[in-house]
Amino acid sequence: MDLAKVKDEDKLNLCRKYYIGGFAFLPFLWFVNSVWFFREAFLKPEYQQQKQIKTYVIRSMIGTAIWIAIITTWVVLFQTNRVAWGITADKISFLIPKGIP
Amino acid sequence: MIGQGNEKEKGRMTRLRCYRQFILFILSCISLGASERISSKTYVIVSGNVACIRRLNGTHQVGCSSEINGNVGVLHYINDTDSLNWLINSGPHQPYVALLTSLNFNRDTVQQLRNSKKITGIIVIHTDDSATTPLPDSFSPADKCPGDLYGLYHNNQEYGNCKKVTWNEDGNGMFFEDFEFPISIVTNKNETDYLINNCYLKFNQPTQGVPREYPLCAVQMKSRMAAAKDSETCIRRTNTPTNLNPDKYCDALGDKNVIGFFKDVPEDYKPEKKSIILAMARMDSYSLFENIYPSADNQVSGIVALLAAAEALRKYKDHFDNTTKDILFTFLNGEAFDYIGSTRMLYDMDKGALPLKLKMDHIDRIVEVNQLAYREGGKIWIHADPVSRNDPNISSEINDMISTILDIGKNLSDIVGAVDQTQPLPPASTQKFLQKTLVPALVLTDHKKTFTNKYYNSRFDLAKTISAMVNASDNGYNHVTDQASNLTVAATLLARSLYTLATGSPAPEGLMAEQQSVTHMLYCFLISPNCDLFKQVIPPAREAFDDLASQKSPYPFYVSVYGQINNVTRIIQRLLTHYIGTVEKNHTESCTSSEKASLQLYNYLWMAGPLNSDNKTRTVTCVKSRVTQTKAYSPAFEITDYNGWGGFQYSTWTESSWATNALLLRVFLIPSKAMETSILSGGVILTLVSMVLIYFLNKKADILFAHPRPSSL
Repeated sequence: MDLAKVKDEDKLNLCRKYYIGGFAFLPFLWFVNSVWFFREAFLKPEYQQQKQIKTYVIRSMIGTAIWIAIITTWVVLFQTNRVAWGITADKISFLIPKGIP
Repeated sequence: MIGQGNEKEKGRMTRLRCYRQFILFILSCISLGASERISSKTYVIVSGNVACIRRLNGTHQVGCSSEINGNVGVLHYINDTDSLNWLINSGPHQPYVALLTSLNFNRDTVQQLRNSKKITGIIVIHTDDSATTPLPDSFSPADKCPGDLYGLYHNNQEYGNCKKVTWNEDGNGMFFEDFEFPISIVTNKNETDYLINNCYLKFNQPTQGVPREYPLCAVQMKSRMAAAKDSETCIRRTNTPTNLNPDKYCDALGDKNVIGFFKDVPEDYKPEKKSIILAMARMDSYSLFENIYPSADNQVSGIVALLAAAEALRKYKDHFDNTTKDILFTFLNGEAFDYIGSTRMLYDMDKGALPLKLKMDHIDRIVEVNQLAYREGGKIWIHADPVSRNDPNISSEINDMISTILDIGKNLSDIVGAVDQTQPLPPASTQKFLQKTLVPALVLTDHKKTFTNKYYNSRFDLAKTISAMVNASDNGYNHVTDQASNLTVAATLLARSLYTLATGSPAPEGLMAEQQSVTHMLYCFLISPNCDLFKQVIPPAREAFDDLASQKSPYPFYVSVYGQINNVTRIIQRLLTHYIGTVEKNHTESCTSSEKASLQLYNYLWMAGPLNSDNKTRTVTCVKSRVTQTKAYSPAFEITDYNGWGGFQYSTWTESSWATNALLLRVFLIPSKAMETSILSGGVILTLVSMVLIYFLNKKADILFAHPRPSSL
């Protein structure tokens, strides 16, 4: 979809939908929101809905950053401690690697 | 008219042209289609390779495994200390794969190579030819005190931990080490020659100590094992349902024991206390490499002697009645892996799961045959347990038994002797039975103190090492070797001893083992199973016969994974049935073709039968016997939430599983790291440059590619 051809209210609606959707544990929506609407929010000349779009984009960026921090911490923690955790780690794994403890 | 002729002419010319082009097309397809794949020109696959696999027990993993995509290393042939030192001190092209001869493959060399941290794999030469594979003085990958942790003398201050006798002096313990790289053997002489001549000598051999230049010849060894850490972990992972795609990580080792009661009994028979003599042997061993389990001394020699004794006793079965004891011929499986079979048998005894609800108090005494091939001083030695001698009754019974057997031995060229009374029992299944209940028990072996077998549980425990093989033109099936005649005397000794112990009377002069049977059994077990004796006892089905005919090498004596068919167990069950059973002519309805476990008093088995006089067909026979099989599967894998994995109660051995294409060994040339890096960077630069170029071309497309002016309309 080319945002240049979309009406301003529709742009606001889209941005809001992605923002609300991200709260359902879907951080990728927030990420897409922040990237896609970045130019609309910050680089385009002033128009009526831009203030609201800007708030949504900023909040999406914050949400993305928080989620990146959470996921990175968990991945690092799990990868370094999987062997040490033994049975617990096996219980929470879907795919257990073969050939290594 | 002329115009029409021209049209026809043109049409025919066009059709001819079409046909010509079509034929040219087909021809070019055929010639181009007969091309080789590039991979077959790059890689040479070594097919006769056998890998060292990974096994696990309750606390450790042992054996070898490779990386996921195999280990690649530059091949280096080590046949003396110079080449070994060159690799460790000067070799610059690490990682290497060391190619060792049979004399060099020992714990010292392997440890040195490991410490150098320069190798990523080991290949050992192991062909049939004794020139390329000389027999080392000794080689045993077992530990010095086999089975001590699970045996009778565990925690015994006086007899435990081999304090009195180190049973396996030559044991280097390599079987129980955890190697971080793969180890394989190559069994085909052509392929070992290829590795040495076309790979090492041509590309890799240093010229006067100076390393060669790239390209070098490298080997990729792939033997990726799925299981890791220990049995508890891999069994849990195999059984865990959280996986959407259930994977097999490891399988428990186990199989079946074969047991056969000897005497004929009425339908309402119930055994009395202390009325059964246990005559035991074990059926399995191990080695470092998969499927190479020849087990000639340990324990084919014992199995053959016991089976031949059973056959000899058969003629005097009517001497056994309700006034004599019964003999229970027992062949235990999995004993090499912490006594799987005997532990399970005792467990089943407690649960009343054995035929006749057999319990330890039905057992009067135990006679076990162990290794018999390398007789020390030409004699077989009787071992007894010093701990049970603390009980004066048992002590006097043991002395009686020993003197009985010594007397019988005197008549048989003085073939038997008794060891020192203060010496403990060698590694034997008897130890597990005595752990349960002390009964008078003897173990007959070929060694007086430490093992005389220098190749205990190794790939060198072969027919030719125990002198049971000749290069006779008739393939040796009927040729009586020295080993065969000696084992016949041993079997006679065993038969007469069992007779006297069971009936209380001296053995008749005619009670002798058949030398032919012993010769045939040695041939069939150690050289080739495609022999007449086995053909007689297999099921009378086409598949059984074809399966036997396609066997190129002897059956491996390995307990293997529970659930997988173990040919050794099946054939021993059939041989025991054949030797102590009776041919059933009339009531053949209950006769079955497959051996199964049953609790019935009598079992009926179909066999292909002996050759008829036309030497082509066989008379199918139904044999009635009291032979059956019982589980040899560690209770550790059946008890829910078993938590004794670190203890010494039940065996916890498992074998790792691996993917179908996970075993591979191939040879190819590799370039230097510099060349690899330059090719890679060249490619990356080319890609980037072309991307930039295309970007600019795209941007200036209007200027570069002028549109053709549309024709004026």
